[in-house]
Amino acid sequence: MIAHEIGMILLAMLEALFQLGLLLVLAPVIGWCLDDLPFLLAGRSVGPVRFRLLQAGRFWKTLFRAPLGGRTALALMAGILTLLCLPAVTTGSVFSSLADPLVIGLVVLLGRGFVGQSLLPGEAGRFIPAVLLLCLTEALIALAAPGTDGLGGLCAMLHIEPEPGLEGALAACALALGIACPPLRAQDVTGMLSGIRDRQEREAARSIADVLNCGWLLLLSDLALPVSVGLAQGGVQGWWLGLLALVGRLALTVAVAVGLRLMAQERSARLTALFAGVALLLALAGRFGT
Amino acid sequence: MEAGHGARSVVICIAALAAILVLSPAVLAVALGVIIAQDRDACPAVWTVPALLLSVLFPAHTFVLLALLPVLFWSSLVRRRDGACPSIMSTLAVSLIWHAPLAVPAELVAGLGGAVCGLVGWSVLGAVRPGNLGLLRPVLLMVLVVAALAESLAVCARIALEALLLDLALLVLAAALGRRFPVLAVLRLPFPPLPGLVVLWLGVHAALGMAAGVEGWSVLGVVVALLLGLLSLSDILEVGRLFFLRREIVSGASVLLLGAGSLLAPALVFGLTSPVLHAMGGEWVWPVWSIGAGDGAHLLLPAFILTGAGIWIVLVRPWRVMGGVVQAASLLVPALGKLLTIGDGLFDEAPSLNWTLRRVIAGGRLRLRGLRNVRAPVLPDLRQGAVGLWLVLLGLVLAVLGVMT
Repeated sequence: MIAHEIGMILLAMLEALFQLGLLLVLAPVIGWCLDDLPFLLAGRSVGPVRFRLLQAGRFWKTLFRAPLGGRTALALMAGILTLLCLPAVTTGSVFSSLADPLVIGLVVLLGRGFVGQSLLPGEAGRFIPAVLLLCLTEALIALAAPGTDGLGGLCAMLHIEPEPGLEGALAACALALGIACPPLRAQDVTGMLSGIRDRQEREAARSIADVLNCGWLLLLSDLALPVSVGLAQGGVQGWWLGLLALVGRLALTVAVAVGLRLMAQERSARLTALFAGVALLLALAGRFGT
Repeated sequence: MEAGHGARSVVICIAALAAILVLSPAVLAVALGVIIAQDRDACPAVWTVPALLLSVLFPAHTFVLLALLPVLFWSSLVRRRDGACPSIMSTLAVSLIWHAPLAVPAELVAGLGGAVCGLVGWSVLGAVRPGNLGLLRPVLLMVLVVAALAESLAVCARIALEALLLDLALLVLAAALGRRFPVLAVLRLPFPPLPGLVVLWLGVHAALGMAAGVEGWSVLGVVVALLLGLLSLSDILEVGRLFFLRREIVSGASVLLLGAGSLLAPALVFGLTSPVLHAMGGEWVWPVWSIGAGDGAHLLLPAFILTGAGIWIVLVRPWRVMGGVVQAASLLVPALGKLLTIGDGLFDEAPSLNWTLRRVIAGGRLRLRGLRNVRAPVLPDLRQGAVGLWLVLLGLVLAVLGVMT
């Protein structure tokens, strides 16, 4: 009996480590999509994904040889913690009980503040709506589904008892978050690194920004489509389905982020307010309608 | 000078104790008057004297409480000075609301929300930084406690009280030791490992616990949650100001102590106040490892901090150099100071209204003038605002539904 328990815990830890590894490999690919896909769609030539992956590989190799400074280490820690805690493939990983949307969102925002020495101009314009929207998200979850424990509990609950009002509200919240606080672009990171001359440090900051972007997009995709996360008791088939759903969900989120950038709808205060209002109305409709 | 300062502090403390402990409204008004008289930037007498008189005549009414709020917070919120012990004013306001069973919580929330929005809007338009708005958060949380007790939701009241006590403890701690250890102010920030996040999280969940338990609180709960978020954001401004003044004192060791403090502070505060929590919630609780929100959600703060600290230490690998941890932690100080300047640009200059808005304002003025000699009415073209109209109509329908159920 005890051996079975220990085996389950080991399995959960293995899943957490696998999820972290997979997302860390996906992070440079997502970074390439965010930076270069708009140019590729516009018909211009861009560097292949291979270069981005090689750059990330170099970063991790140097990380094993030389330690990071305190500030960059905090930013990378925020990214790794996000990727560890959020439910990705299934809700069965060890850390999925730590995935509270407000806490995780604030971790990513904190990490973004520590990537470079200087802040982006207009960072307050992303930070303030993002914090308020995260509060709204947490409030809507607690309002429409009282009794759930974080994102993991929410995914499990929505499998058992679907609640269209809450799902629509969360999708609208995720969209508002994506509009108000888009992921960091290459030129944003360049702007943050204005005071740093060391080449290695600049490359490290770019890779860390990729990890943070991956965490932010994973949070948004988990909020937008919580049902696509597999259950812990789903068995092998459920796990493979969860993996497929993870890839599809991330691809969809990246596509939406790229689309928002191409249409120049990012950081539009009017759209953010519109989707936040829609989220509130949907959640209230779900509550009063039943 | 020193002696005068000390005597003034003693007078304020005695008067505050009298105001909190004595239940007679007359004594309360006199004690409040004494406290206000110690402050040079206090609320003008035109408002103070009638408010205090009304508080004697109609004790514990909602409008009296709302009228007393400016009296208490004038120097720190309107004059934006660190007047006579802002934390004492917060404690006083909390005790005032606790002793006012006749007050209507919904109206108090509306008043507080209006005050916060008004103050923020006034500072944006006037291009000055707002005062220490975080002082109003204990008051808001106390309103939640009173409302939950009135609806006999004991667990919800306990959660709000936990948030309130932690917030007050952080306020008093920063006020008492802030001169020597300016890092303590950082504890109030809403960033993940710090206790300020616990206050925000517990407050949001307590507000939504009310919303889930009581019919009329659905919209009000969301409003309270957003207000708490806004107050946390204003804390970043305030702490950034304090941090900027005394940046050179902050060392790497104090950053590490801050980490340890954020691990221990919630457990310590909840442990010390567990009799109060027991009296309110009806069961003995001491949340150390997992802080429950009463509605099934849990915040495993120590697990979070320990995992994060483990990852950070592996990334930094401080054992290679003597005192490597302190050195690495001291690198965090300038980055944190930079992060805290995030809101500085917001209040540098008054917003220049864009042309659309100016045209609307000017057009409205013209139309108002033209109302006098109307011949052929011309409807204004408002097709742009159709989405807003639909949203308002939908909201009205839902509000009606909410009232009916």
